Amino acid sequence: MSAEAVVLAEALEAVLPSGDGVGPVDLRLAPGERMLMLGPSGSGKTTLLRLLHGAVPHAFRATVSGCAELAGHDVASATVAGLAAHAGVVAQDPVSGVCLATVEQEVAFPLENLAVPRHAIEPALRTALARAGASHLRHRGTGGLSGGELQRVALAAAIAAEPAVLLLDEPTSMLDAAGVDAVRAALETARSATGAASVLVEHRLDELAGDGGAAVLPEQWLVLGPTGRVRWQGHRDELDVDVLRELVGLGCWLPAELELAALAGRRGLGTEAALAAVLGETATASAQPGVRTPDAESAGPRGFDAAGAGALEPGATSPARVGRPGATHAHPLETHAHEPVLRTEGLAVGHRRAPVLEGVDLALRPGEVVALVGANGTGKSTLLTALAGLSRPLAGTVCGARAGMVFQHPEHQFAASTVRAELAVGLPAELQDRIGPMLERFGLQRLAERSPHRLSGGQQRRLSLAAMLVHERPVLLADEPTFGLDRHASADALGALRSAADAGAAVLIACHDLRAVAAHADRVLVLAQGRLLADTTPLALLRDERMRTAAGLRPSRLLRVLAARAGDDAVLRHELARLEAAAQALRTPDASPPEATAEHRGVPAPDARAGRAASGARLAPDVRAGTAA
Amino acid sequence: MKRLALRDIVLLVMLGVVFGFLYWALVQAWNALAVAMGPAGDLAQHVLFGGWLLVAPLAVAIIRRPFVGVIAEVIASVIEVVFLGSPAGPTLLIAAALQGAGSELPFALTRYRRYGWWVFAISGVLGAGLVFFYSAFRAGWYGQEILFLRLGMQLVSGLFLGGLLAKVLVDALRRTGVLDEFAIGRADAALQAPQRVG
Repeated sequence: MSAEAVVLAEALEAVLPSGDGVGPVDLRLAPGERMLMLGPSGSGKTTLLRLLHGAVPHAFRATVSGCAELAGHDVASATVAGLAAHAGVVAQDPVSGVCLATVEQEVAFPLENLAVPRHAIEPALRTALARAGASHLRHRGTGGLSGGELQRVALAAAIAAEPAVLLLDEPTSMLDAAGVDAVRAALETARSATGAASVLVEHRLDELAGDGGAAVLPEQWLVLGPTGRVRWQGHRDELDVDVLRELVGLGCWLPAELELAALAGRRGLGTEAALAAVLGETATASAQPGVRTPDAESAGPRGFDAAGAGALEPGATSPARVGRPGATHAHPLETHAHEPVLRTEGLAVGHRRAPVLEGVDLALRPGEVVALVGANGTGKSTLLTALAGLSRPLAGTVCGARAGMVFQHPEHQFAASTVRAELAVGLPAELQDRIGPMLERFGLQRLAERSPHRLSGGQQRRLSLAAMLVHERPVLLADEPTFGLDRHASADALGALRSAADAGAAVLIACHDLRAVAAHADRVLVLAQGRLLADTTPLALLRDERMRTAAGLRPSRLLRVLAARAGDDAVLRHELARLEAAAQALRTPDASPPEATAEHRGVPAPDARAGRAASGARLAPDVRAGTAA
Repeated sequence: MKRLALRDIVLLVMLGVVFGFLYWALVQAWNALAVAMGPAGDLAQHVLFGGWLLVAPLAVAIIRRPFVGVIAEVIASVIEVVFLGSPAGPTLLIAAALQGAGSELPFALTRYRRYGWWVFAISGVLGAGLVFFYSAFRAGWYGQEILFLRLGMQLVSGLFLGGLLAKVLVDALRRTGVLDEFAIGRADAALQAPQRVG
């Protein structure tokens, strides 16, 4: 085997006990080469990373064939200790990777394990923390860190020993703009300073690419299909439109220019031209009658998406799979006149005695989706738990209805031993008949008797949403509801929350994803400097650079272009919905495994939703404490 | 003999520490029960005895390797004595080793292959029985009229709290999926070779 390759795989394939598999894959990365791995949720990206560093099959059982080498060591016959010197790993869930009590110890731990001389540890520790944007966390306890802060620490620990190979599993999933910058810079530094090769699994490609566009991303791309087979492999410049369209169809996020190329059907258009091609004009639609199909017709106002894109397969725009009709997005102003269902006055929240946020006055009204944004560690999760009544405020009051809540980590709220029982927790006997329809709505029937802990990440997220929605509470709180989900699953999760709002609930979502905020939120609450800095709208936030900077947010280029075009929030939301509908139209049900097909059922068809909203599904005024408690 | 895998060692220590705390809590319950039982208070320890056996069958059933039951039980006793200050004092370590040995013996006799209700039942009885003779010697129970009452109560407690309850706990844990990557989970999956879907 070649001595130059630090990551080498030949016909590498793994089959897990569940029958899911990944590969066969051939890989060869020389020092300094970077690879990006893409694929929908459940396609085996994490398993493939684990195959490269040996966790599969050493720790996680699997039938492995073919061979993998890391820095010249055969992974199958090496020990964990033997590989540790060569690989830096950031796991998908940073919480699971933390071993020690303080950040300083945590980052020094890999260095100590590798017997780095004592005097060399301090400078290495300092450098690693600085590169990961975590210097300010050095003396904090790991137990008190937020998800995004932990993710920075995990990155620092992975790069501290300057390993020959970096294996990163969604390292930006919980990070604010500065954190994403740190990941981008750390990848670049690792390559230029130490010649490290890297393999990256990432959903947030547009954010990670930043203003540099796709050129900043790793040059090698490996695309896995829903069943873990390699769909495409090569240099990113060789990606043709068909591959890009398939990627969007599979549920992968892409950097803006590639997403637009996929939706527009050709590469090389400028952002504006591509946007115009995708969003089209109504005139364009009628000018191309040949593209319209009976299916597209019956989708009513959505037909233009298929026509505007000009090249979508006619059958792809079935009414069941397009997004919400733009009309229902126009938020009825009257609902803002509704009395708030949850209100806080002078609220201060924090850990022990130290306040993270003070003087928070906010109100949530029926029918609105409100986004909660702010840099990592500003207290989004802490505020949500206080609003849910799960933690005692340091000062001030929370009045209003008891809220339902979805935690950042769904596992943290599971209380029952089966999926069905999880939905039944806290549900009064006379409301038990809601469980069946809810299972069906979220595609969970087949999993009803499984343990919640044995589900995949995406399935757990759907379960936690279902368990919250089944109570039909007037207030719903969701902490990063799209964390770890692919594009389609994210759209389903946000769609479910939106339809709950349309049915009369007040919804508050903590979120880093500005695009999701702009596409779904009526209002945005901005947390910064230890207080509620602003109560504004998505468009106003996008246009206020000072506020965005204070909140650690940076819109992608695409969002900036859209914001510049849009006259008001409704237009912005409408255009994002049309982009989303165009992406949804590329969904390929045939290529999906049964599980992914079930995922489609997570979002009810537009008519079903409209019916639900029209019937005004009544909120039980006094539902008992449920999964949130 | 193959060494224990890192994850087995971590689990073993975790079980030991958690049960060390639970055992200490059980000591508090024992004190309360002894007071509540009035003149018969000295018999309270026999009623609860099986509870102090739990970790050994749990560890053996999950990890399925020789000596893990004894080791887990001894770790738990170290936590009790060194960190939490059990009134039993350092000789508890000897008792713990005897308890662990008694509990593990039936599993060892099946060469760590059988984990049915019967094996757990015998494990509970032996765990309670083997150490009884040491305790009786230490506490001067020999010659008492109620020696066999003590033994009988302790064996029954061992059967239910230290044997059958362990089986219930193991089965409940297994259902959650957290044990999938341990010997117990691998034994489940060994029945069907994975066939790749898709």
